[in-house]
Amino acid sequence: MIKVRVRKAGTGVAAASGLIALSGAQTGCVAEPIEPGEESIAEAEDELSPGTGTLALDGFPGNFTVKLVNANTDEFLRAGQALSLELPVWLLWDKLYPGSPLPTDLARLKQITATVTVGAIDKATPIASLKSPVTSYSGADSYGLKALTKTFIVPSKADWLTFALTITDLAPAGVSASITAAELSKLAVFGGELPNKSLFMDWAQSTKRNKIIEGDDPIAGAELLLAVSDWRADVVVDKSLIDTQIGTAQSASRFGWVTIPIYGKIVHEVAYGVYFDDGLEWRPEVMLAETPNSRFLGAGRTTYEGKIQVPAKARRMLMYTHVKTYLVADYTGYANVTAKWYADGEKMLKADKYDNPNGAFTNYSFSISNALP
Amino acid sequence: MLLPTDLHGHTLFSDGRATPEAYVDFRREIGMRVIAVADHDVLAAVPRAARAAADAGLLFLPALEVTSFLHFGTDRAEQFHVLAYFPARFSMLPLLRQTALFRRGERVQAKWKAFVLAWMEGISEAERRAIDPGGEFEALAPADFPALQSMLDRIASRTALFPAFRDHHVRFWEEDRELFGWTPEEAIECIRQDGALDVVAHPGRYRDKERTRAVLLRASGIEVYTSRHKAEVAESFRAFAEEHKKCWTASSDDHQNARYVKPAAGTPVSTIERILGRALPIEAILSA
Repeated sequence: MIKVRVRKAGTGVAAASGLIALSGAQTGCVAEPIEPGEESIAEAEDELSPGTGTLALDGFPGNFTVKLVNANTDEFLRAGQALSLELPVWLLWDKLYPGSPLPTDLARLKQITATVTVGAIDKATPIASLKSPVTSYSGADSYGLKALTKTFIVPSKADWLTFALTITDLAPAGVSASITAAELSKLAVFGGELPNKSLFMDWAQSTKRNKIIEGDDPIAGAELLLAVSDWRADVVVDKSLIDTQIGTAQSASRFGWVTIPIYGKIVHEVAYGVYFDDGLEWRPEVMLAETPNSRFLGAGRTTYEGKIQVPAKARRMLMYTHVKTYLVADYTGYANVTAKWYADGEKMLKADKYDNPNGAFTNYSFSISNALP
Repeated sequence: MLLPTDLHGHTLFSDGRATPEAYVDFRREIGMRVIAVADHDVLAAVPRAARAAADAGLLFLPALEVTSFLHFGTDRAEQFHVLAYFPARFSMLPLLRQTALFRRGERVQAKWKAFVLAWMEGISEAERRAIDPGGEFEALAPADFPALQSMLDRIASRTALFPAFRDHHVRFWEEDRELFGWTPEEAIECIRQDGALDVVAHPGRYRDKERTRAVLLRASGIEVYTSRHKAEVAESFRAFAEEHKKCWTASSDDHQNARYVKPAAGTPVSTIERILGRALPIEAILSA
C-alpha cells in the first residue's frame, strides 16, 4: 500500500504513483509516495496523512451519487489521497439496458466496462482531469459484482472532485452509455489550503466529534475554518423535545376532511466564543454563517461556518459554541388553516444552550502548532 | 433486546404527505435506528428512502403494505393489510424489480392512473382544467402520476369535487378483484415467495376477529405497537405473538395527517435479524 504525505513545494507537478493523468495542474503542493520504513510510525502519525480509500457509485437511474465507502482515515477526502472507484455492475448494466433483467452469468457481466473521468477543481477552476479505467472485478454473484478502477491520487490543490462515466459493453461492440458530471454529485476535498485548516464539530456515531480534518493542530498565524453541523446543533438543544406545532389546518384525506397539525420551521443561530493564550481576553461571541449544501456534509445538509484567525503567538485555543433555536411560524402551503397559534413569520426562541465539553463554563481546548510538521 | 424502529409509514407515493427524504430525516431526529417506508401496494419510495437512510446512518428495510380483502365482493368486505419486509439488499432497484410485489406495484400505479383519468372523463372541462391545468396527466408515466394523497389534495384545493371523488375512490380497491381480491393468506404466500417477511398490519383494526385470528396464526409476524392500537390492545397482541412464537414489530403507521405517535416500545432484534436473514452486528445492537 502506498503511504502518501503532502508537503509544501514551490515548483513541480504531481508525480505520485497511481496518477493516471494530470493535465493543466498548477504548481505548489504535491503528493509524493513514501517508501515503507522510511519514517517511524510516531513521526508518520504526526504528519498529515491523506490515506487511501474507495469511492463507490451508488443510487439509481436519474439519481446517481459517488461517495467514499472505505478509507483508512475517515469520511473526508483529502488532497494526496489515493483513491479507486467501485462501480456496481448491475448499475452499469441498467444504464446500458434499462429495465432488462440482469444476467446471472458473471463472465457476461464482466464484458461491461467503464472509464471514470475525475475532474479536479480549485476555486471553481478546473485544474486536472484524470482517467481511471476499470481494471478488475470482484464479487461472487451478479448483484454483488463490482468493477474496480485503477487508483488515482487526488491532486494537491483540489477543492472539489467531479466524476463522469463512460460505460461500454464489449460484447455487442459499440453499445455504450454515459453518466455525465452533471448527473453525479461532486465531492469536497480538504487539505489543499494548508496551513489553513478546518475544525468540524458534528454529531457522529452518537457522540460529539471535534475534528481537525487536515489532521494535527491548528496552525499559528493561519486561518481555522470552524464548521458546526446541523445535527450537532440539534443535539445541543435537544431539538427532538421541541414542540414545533404552530397551528392546525383542514385537509383532505381518504377518510374525509381531517384536522392536521401545522408544523413550523426550526432555525438555529450558532455563535462561538474563543480564547487564545496571547495575552488578550476572551473574544466577543461571533455568529457563524448558515451554510446550506455544506461542503463538509453534502447536499441537503447545513453547517454553521466562520473563519477564526489564529494569532501568530498562540499556543492554545479554548472555545465553546452557543446555539439559539427558534421556531418560525410559516403557514404557506396550507390552504385551509383553521388555527394560527402565532402570527405569520413570528420567530419564537425555543432553546438557548451552550456546547461545552463538561458542563457550564468548561471549554474545548486545542493546542496550536507554530508550523506544519 | 428491542431496537428503536418505525417500520410502517407512508409517503407521497401512496396516502402520505412526506417525501421519502423528509420521512427518513424525521425518524433520524427522534432517534430511530431501523426504519421502513411501507406505502400501500407500491415500492416506489424505496430507492430514495434507502439513500436518505444510508446518509443518516440508519438501517433501512424495503417494505410495502399489501392490500388484501376479507370477504371480497360481499357486504362483509373489509381490507386486510399485510406488511412485507425485504432484506436490505433489495434496495437495489433491479433486484427489487424482479419481485412479484414490485411488478404488482407497477400494475397498481398503472391502474390508478387509468382509474383517475376515467373519473375525470365524467367531470366538466373547467374542473378537469383545474385539476390538471397543463393537461399533462395523460402523458405522465404511471410512476409519476399523482398518488392518492396528492390527488386528494389537488382535487380538494382546486374544486368542489372532493366528496364525490372520495366516495368514488374506494371502488379502486373494492372492484378490482385481480389486484386486490385476494385473501390475506394468498398475500402472505406471495410475500414469502418474494423472499420477504410477512407481518400483519394493525391486527386490532379488523372487524372479523375470527378470521383475523386465523390469519395471525398463519402469519410470520404481527405489528404490535402502532398508532392504531391502544396500549392494552398492543400488549395483548404482544402476548399473543410471544405465546405463538411470532415475530413482532413496533411502528407508527404515520400518514403525516395527525401528530406523530412514537411507538411505545421497540422491535426485537430477532425480528430484524429474521428480515435480514443474518445476525445484526453487535455494535449496531449496542449503539441502539
